[in-house]
Amino acid sequence: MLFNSYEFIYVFLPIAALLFFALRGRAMLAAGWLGLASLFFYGYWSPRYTLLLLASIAANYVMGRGIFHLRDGPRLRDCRFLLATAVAFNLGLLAYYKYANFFVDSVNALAGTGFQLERIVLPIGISFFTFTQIAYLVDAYQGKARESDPVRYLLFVSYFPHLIAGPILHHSEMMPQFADRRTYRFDAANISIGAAFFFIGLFKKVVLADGIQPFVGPVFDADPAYRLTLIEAWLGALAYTVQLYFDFSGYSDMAVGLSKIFNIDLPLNFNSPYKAHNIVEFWRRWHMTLSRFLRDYLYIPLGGNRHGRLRRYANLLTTMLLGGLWHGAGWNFVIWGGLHGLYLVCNHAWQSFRAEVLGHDLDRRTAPGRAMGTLVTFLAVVVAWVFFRAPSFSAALNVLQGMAGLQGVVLPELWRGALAPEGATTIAGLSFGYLEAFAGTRQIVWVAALLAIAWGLPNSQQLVGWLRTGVVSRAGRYAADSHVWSILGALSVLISLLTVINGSRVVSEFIYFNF
Amino acid sequence: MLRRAALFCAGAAAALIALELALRLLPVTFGLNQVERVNTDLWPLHNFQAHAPYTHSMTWEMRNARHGRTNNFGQLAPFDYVAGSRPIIVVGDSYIEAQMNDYRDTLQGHLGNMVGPAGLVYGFGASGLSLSDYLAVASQASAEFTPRAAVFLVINGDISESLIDQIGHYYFRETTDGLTLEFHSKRFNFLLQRIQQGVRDIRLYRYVTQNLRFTFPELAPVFREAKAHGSAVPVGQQGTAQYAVVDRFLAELPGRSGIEPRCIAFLLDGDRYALYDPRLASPLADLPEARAYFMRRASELGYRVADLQPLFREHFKRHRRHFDYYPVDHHLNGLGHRLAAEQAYDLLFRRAGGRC
Repeated sequence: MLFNSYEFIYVFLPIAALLFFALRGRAMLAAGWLGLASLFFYGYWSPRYTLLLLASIAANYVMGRGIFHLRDGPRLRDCRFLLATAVAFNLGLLAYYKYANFFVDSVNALAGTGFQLERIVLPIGISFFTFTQIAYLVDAYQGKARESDPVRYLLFVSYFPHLIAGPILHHSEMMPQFADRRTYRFDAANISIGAAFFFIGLFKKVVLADGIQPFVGPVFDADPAYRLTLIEAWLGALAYTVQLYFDFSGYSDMAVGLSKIFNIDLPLNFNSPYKAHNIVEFWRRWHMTLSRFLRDYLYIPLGGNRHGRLRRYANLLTTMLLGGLWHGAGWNFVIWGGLHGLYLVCNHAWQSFRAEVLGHDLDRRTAPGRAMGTLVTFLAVVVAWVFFRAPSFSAALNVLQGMAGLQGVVLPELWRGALAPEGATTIAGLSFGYLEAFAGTRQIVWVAALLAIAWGLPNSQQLVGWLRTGVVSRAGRYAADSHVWSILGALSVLISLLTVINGSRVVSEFIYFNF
Repeated sequence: MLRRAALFCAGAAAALIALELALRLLPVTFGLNQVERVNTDLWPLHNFQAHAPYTHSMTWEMRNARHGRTNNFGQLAPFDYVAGSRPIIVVGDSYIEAQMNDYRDTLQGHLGNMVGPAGLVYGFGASGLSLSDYLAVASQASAEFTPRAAVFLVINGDISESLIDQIGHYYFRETTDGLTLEFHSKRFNFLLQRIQQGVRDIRLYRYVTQNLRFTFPELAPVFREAKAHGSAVPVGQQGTAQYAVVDRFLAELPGRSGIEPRCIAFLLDGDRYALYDPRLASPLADLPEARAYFMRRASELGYRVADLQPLFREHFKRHRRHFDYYPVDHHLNGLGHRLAAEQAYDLLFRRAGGRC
């Protein structure tokens, strides 16, 4: 079930919320209901894989409890063994469902063998619920997490706003909220804030991401024999850059908003990443809960920055390579992760050089320096996204060669009348031609508009923050209540219109559902 | 509780008003109101209400906005049609209605330019028409204008849809004496008409129903008559019936239109999306054999016939340009209409020796 579908907005969500609030006096029942609704939400996509989800939850719950009991006693070695077994179990599940085909295909390609494996359907959200539970197990081992209530654990993992595509949750930030009785109450202010987040997310998805999506496919899925030219390649790469951002951040906003309706705060996942001044900052702003996971459960256990510069760079590269592989079973994702690892290494090396050799104060930045940093970071990210989106390595090369101008610079035939004198076939040495992957001036307007929004406008949390402090909190109690209900009325109309717009097109899944 | 409900409704109303005001500044599809399909003398020769300003745009983002004014026959032409003026008539469904094109980019517009000042070209198109309706257009146009030549743009579905009993349309009903042409009149409902008149002035309603094509599938029967009563011919007999439709249409057309077959040109559209990408081939409503039979039989009877598919294929191979609003709309764009017009001109004036 998609957050932007009729059945979710008009059937599932109202029923889930109404019963949740109807049970508000009985917290355990309300939590159980929310868990059950979440399982239905997952099972709506594939009932068969609901069993897999349940098995994974049950196994991790039992192993988590075992780890916690063992760590307090004298059998620390057993505890460590159980943790290793539990992590291996989760990674094994992920490896089978996500990477088995990739592994067999890679072996066949490298060794020229012909092993056959039936195509395994990727259970939706498996990367997310697996990582969430690995984090829980490690936290349990470190004594940071302990969960005795199976219902709340089930809800923690399967909670529908985050189940399919995150955010990736920490046990410590969720369980206190599930345990708090105030969570199970009706709060119109939270509902209005949640609805505002949901509306912004839906707008990002339906209008912005899906609006620019038609310009992406013709470039990345172009006929391999067709050589993309400069304009086509750049516009396609930029279109995907903004599509991915608005698609995923839209999904995350919707998840945060839906959760807020149930009085539960999810961690934020995006903070205007394309405004980042360097790649380190980019990763603090992009998919923030994944960055946090990779830092806490991979980079730091690998040694982080504690063993010298070279080891730190190696740790960064390893973390990002695995982070790339987490996104998808394909070499392009590995290259994407490797590129980002390399960017991070370069960034850290450059900062060290500036601080230690040039004696620069890294906290003092000039406006041109910031602008230059933002531009360079953005371009590096765009180049890496090419590998992230391209269906194959050769397709990625086609786009990158086009972006570098190695496959010619051709002006669209459409512009000949406006740019060239009557009868002229070239202008400033550039010829005109029909560009298969260029959709006209509209494409340029779309790309420019979405870049302007990403760079120039406040992000979702800033917008909702203004709504919260400016409209709801500052007003008196009576006025605040009025504002809340009228805001809800207005948002319900706007959300309905976006749903109808979404329904007027072919089904559009969120990009991160593939991961 | 009541206060909160009132506040909720007030917020919703404010949002609706804001949306309506915003949409009034944008090119929402608006103003094309069809004539009531109760009078067999008017419909389908008269398509929309006469002399009404209109805006057409497609999809949620209101692409390809077109503005204009209907003429005295409710057709999208920038001039009025004159009775008894002996024009060349161009007949078809929404492809000829051509809301999405400027008049100069329509088949009739291009053909008018080719024929020059000596000839008039009148387009008669309405969404959803099929061969059975074209016979009615031919009769009505004959009585009104005494046309000297005709061009019919035949698209996929025109044969099979003639067998479907649709409200507000002509259709062929199978009887013991063969096919008979009948008209399924739309019942006139005063209350419904008033409601429709009221809501169709609301831009938000127009945007949702026209640009977004939103319908309440489950609630629809409550508000309007069922759209279709199904095929008048059993599925198993469709093949034979489609041949019969072709025979009947070709046999009746000269008599109804008052035009000799040699001055009637048929242009048969093809599956253009399949040319762009074979995976996009459309399911065919008309049997390919029936389409082939149409071309063969029409030629035998002296009509002028052209299959547009080979023409489009060759052109696409050479220029890689689309003939429609791919991928959002199958209707022909200016290029598609121009190529069709060139074919029509060739059939009627070059090959016929200018005798039409």
